[in-house]
Amino acid sequence: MLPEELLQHIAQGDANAFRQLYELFKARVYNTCISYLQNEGDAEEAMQDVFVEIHHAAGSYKGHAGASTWIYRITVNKCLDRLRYNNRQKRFSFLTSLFHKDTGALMHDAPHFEHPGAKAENREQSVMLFKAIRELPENQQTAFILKQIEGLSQREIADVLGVGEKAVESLLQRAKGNLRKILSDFYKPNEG
Amino acid sequence: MKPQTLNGQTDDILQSMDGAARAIPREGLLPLIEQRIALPFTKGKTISLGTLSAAAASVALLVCMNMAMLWKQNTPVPSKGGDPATQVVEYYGIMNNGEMLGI
Repeated sequence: MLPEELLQHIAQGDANAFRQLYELFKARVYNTCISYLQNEGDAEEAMQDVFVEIHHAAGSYKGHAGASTWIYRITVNKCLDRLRYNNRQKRFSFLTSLFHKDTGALMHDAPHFEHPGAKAENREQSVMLFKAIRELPENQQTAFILKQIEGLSQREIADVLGVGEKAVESLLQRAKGNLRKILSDFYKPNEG
Repeated sequence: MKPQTLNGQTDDILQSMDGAARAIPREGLLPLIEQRIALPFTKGKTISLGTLSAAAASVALLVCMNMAMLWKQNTPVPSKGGDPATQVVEYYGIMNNGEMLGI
């Protein structure tokens, strides 16, 4: 059954269709979530939010966009919501506590993140890449993650973001330019 | 030579996710999602920023109005004479000692 048809069945309360759609999209949704949030716990929670939203909103899916585009759109929105929430937590962390009560570890600090799918020989570079991605503006982050990590085409990214293909191209160029700048800043202190 | 090395390094980093596999979620998430779906949908529980601002402004206005009224009530009655006894007599409208003693 096509994802579009599965969504119609989900809207009619078909639990089996929901399980099929979950199996079909779980890796795409989780991979996108973990690339944004760079934390397994947050990615799992965001993924749950995405599928709960899919279930509740399946009835409002009109088929103007492909099911995949629609699901990616929900995923991106949920991830950005969670990122903003995390950033707010970071901003107000001085009002609560900077350190964990039991372990004494610094809370709200972005930890070292290794993408589980990265090739072993590229693992070190991918850690740097994700560290740099965190510094990008939201729309550039989205364009870069959907293109480089999820492997979507520019047309698909344009549909997810609701912009033209030219705009996506420009976003990707700016994202790469900014990543180069950020990465060269990472290297500067080491070069002395 | 240095900038080329740096460019090479950044290119390697930018391409480090080429050919990477997708991250797979752990087993057991679907039952959690199904549990959440089974719960009643609680959309619309949040209060918009506009509503919150309007409520805060109303409270602030009420507090200001109350403060202004209290301040008005506590303003001392201006007295013509400097003598405290005269001020008391003026305030209570007492005309003579007999009246004050209730005679």
